[in-house]
Amino acid sequence: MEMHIVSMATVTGTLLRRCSRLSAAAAPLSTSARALGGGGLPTVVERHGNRMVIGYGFNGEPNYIDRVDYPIPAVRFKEDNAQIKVLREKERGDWKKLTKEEVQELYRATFCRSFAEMQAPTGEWKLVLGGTMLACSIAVWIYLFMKVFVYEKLPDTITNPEKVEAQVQRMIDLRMNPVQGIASEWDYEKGQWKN
Amino acid sequence: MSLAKPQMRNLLQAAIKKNLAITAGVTTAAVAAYYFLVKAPRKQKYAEFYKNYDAEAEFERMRKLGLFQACSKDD
Repeated sequence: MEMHIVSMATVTGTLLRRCSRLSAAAAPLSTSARALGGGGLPTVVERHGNRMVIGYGFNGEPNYIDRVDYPIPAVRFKEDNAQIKVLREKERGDWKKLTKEEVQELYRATFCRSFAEMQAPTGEWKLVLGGTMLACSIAVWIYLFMKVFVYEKLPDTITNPEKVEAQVQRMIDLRMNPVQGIASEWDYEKGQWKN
Repeated sequence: MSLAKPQMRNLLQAAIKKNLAITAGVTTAAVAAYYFLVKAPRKQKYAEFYKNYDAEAEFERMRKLGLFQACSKDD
């Protein structure tokens, strides 16, 4: 029994020392659960490697994403190398002294795509339109199949021209919809349809 | 080279005002079009139809044709 308690204490101590080492040294700005000493919280696998954490990001996790509404991600895009470190030092001085290539280099070290590249049209609408039209055409085929193999014949009152004529004649006699409808299309003096 | 400073604040409010103005314009145009192209002509047609409409004569005509179930066609 005592042995169990002792070993548990040792393990916990090790964990806490690791957590404090993480939070103290490597990631003062880190936002992940592990760095904040959250023992017992569900931990997130940190995949940002050696990339410097530069902000909160869009959800507090150390991730990188190109988003117009969260322009500064939590981590830089690329890991630092000696070349970039030199440029960073130069960046702390007068920006007018940086050449255009150096500015580009610094930008691409921190960001993957520019705003113009991020917001460039993708042409996805063609896929969506094509897919929609394909689905509609399948629906039409299904309807045709139903018409040929499933539906019964139309009733006699629709297909028989004498019966249809008698029905329309009754509509005209009763002056159904006489202002803008069917009875208004009939020429009563000449006894025929208006044109 | 220097660009003009873009608008930094009140972007949502500006967008909302613009959208409200466009909404007002488009709805007014739509309603005006419907009124002048659909409603006014229809009202006119109904007025013309009922100006000299004799309901009794129409009723007698239909009755004599035997189109009513409750009224006989004989006098």
